[in-house]
Amino acid sequence: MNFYIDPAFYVFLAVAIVPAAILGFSGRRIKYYGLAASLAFLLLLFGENLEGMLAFVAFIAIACAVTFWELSSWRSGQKALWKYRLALAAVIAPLVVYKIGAVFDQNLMGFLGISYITFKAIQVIIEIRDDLIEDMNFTDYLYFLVFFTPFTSGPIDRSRRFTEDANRRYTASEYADLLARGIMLLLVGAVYQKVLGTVFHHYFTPAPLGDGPWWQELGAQVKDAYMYGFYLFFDFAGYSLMAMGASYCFGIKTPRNFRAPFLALDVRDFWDRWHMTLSTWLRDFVFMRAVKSATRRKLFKDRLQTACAGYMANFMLMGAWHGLTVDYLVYGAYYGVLMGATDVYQKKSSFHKKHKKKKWYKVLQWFVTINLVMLGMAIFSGQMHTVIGGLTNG
Amino acid sequence: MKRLVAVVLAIALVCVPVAMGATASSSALEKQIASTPYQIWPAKARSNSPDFVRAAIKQRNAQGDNCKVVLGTSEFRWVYPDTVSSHPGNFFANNNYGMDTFLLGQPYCQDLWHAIEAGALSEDIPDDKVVFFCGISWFMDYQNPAKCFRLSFSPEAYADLMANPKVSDKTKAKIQKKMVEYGVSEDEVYAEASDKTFVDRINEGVQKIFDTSKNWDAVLSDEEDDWNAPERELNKSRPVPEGRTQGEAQVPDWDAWMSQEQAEGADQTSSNDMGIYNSWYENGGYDKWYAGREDWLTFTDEPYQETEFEDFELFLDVCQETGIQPLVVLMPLKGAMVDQTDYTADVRAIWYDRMKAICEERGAEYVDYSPYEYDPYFLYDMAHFGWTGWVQVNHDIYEFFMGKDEADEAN
Amino acid sequence: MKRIRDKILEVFFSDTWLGAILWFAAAAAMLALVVWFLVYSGFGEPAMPVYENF
Repeated sequence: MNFYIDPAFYVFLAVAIVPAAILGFSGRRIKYYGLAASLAFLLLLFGENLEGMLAFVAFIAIACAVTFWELSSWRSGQKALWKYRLALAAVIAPLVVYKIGAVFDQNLMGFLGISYITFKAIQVIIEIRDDLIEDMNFTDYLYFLVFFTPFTSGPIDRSRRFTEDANRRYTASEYADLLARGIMLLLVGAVYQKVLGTVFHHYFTPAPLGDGPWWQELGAQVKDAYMYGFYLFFDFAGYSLMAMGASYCFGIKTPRNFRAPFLALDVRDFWDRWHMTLSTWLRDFVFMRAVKSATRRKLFKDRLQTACAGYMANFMLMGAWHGLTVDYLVYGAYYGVLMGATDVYQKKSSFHKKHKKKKWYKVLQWFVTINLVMLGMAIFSGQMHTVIGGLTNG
Repeated sequence: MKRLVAVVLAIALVCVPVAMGATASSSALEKQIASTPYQIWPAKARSNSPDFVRAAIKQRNAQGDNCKVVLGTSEFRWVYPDTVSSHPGNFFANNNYGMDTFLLGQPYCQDLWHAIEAGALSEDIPDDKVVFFCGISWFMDYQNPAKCFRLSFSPEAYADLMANPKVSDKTKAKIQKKMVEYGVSEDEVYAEASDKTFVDRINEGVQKIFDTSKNWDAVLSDEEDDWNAPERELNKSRPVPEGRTQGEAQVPDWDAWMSQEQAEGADQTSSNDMGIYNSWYENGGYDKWYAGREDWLTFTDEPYQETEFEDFELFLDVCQETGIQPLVVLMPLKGAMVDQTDYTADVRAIWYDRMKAICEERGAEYVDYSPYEYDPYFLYDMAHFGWTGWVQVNHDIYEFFMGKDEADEAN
Repeated sequence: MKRIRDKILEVFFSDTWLGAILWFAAAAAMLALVVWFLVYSGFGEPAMPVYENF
């Protein structure tokens, strides 16, 4: 059963919310019911896909085993770094194997939602090492990993925040507010994903450059880039809103993934607004650690250079996570370069410093940024590939 | 709390009419066609929609037609500019004989299509009786029953057949096997299997609500591109002729009709003495037919294909299991024409005899028109009922549904 | 324009009956739009969420 797509999902969701609402209104914790409901939904998700189900169960077993192994080492004061590294490797391995296998069209260890559950498991292991998580209940951990509403495509929550919400007892009026917001978010998300996403997808008709006048051909390519950009936004933001809405009904305030990304004034701002949970995850667990490590080892001349290298590593990883294909790796590199370039420009350019508060300059920034973003979309969607392929072949 | 109440009310407000609209979806269709002109011979999009056929039969009976189902195919065509006044579309439609016909079936619909159709509509067939026009050409060696089935296949009728509890699992399985043999994808055929998951059932239930609302446009549009203009006329909805359902129902004067049609037939086939309609004969149609007849009206080993006989038996099985009483009409061929091919009178007799034997074995009523093979105005071309043919057929249809009338008994 | 927008947002997020009515209207409109779009318009089925593929 496909989450958020099959009509049956919405039927089951509506039914599943009833006991959650009863618990919520009566001031009880929803988490035990939420965990049971999540497992039931995941059973339906994997359905008759035995391979996926086994890969999922194997992942859970590995993640639980290594995480609590590491936790006990930290709790006892031993804090063995090798255990941390092994745990991290064990939890990352299935995703890496899956992504590499995908290059050869093989489905190895893959299951729907593997990326997002892996991000969560990594976060827990790293925060244990950083002493941010000093103790953790098995039920809470399992619930965090398998909570069904953001399971298939995110948003990527954080365990401490999640667990706090999961263990809350709401007053009737607090829960009523949550439920109302949740339902509203589901509706907005449905409009985004099912209506607007579909409409923009309908107008996305990529093609190689044709024989018309150059301004017409360019115009068509720009139009397709924009159509894809809006399609991807409404599709992904819509899904994220629905996931948020469904989780609110279970008393979990899953964080938002988007914040008006097409209003961004520069590329850094864009990544603060687009797929926010992923970019903050990458920032916290890749960028920050890479920069800290590089700074400690004095790998680069100054902070700016370190940051640029950090951005490159960060976004290449993001590109590679999408898939080990030319399009996604170029996409990652594209933003790696742009992020660094933006930093350099904003720190070094006197023109920027002189005008950055002016309205016309902000409009200019916005215009440049949105076009850079849509160009990025054209790379991501494979449209650029089609065009370049057409040019090299034709 | 206020917001929650507001939101829940909003959902209820929208869901209730949707749910109501959905459960009443077939009566929504009935309402839509209630005041539109009625169908005599629905075009393919409509005859392949059992929901439409049910609604259309209801609509016609609501206006007093007392219509009965006649299953067939291309014999329902009528020809233009030559006219065949005894065509049921004229005969019953323009007069008040106390009953009318609902002609169901399009070209390419052979036995398997009709078996599925009967199974799909069994509960809605008036009087639980059907007349079934069965054509020898369906069985001939040149014919491609598989292709005909694929061209005419109706997924909705198939779904309704599978949902009909009266048809036995054994018969359903045989039909499924035939469908796959004829080239329908296994996924499509066995998707109707009863071991669907709970989730699939819910998905389909919701999907059905949405689909039925969408599909009526295609079904209701009068834009079917079919054959020639008069066919479109017949396939289209038409207004009820003035005064037809008023007054007393009369018994048709069969003798008067017969003499009228003899004269009309003679007039319409004046260009030749085989009883072929003028516009086809005069435009070289017959000559072309004659020149090419050995390409297709020929056979190597067997004159007839077993597979079509199997399908005919399936049709009878479905009728028997659902309590439908059929009248099998064994349609003749124009002897004057077909004797010039491999399918001589002896070869044709093999088919008639075999069909009669199957009907007798299963206790199905039949009408054998083979004695009329050489009657010039019985058929207007090689295989399709003409002037006097329709009078005879209408008579048999009338007696089948209305019972034998005293006037006839007296004769 | 901006002031009207801010005012509407203020009411929308307030705990008043007027706010609740706005919620009602918004919810009804959105649900009706989704149902109309999926059932009656000619756009066909929405595609699977893109990010399920990653």
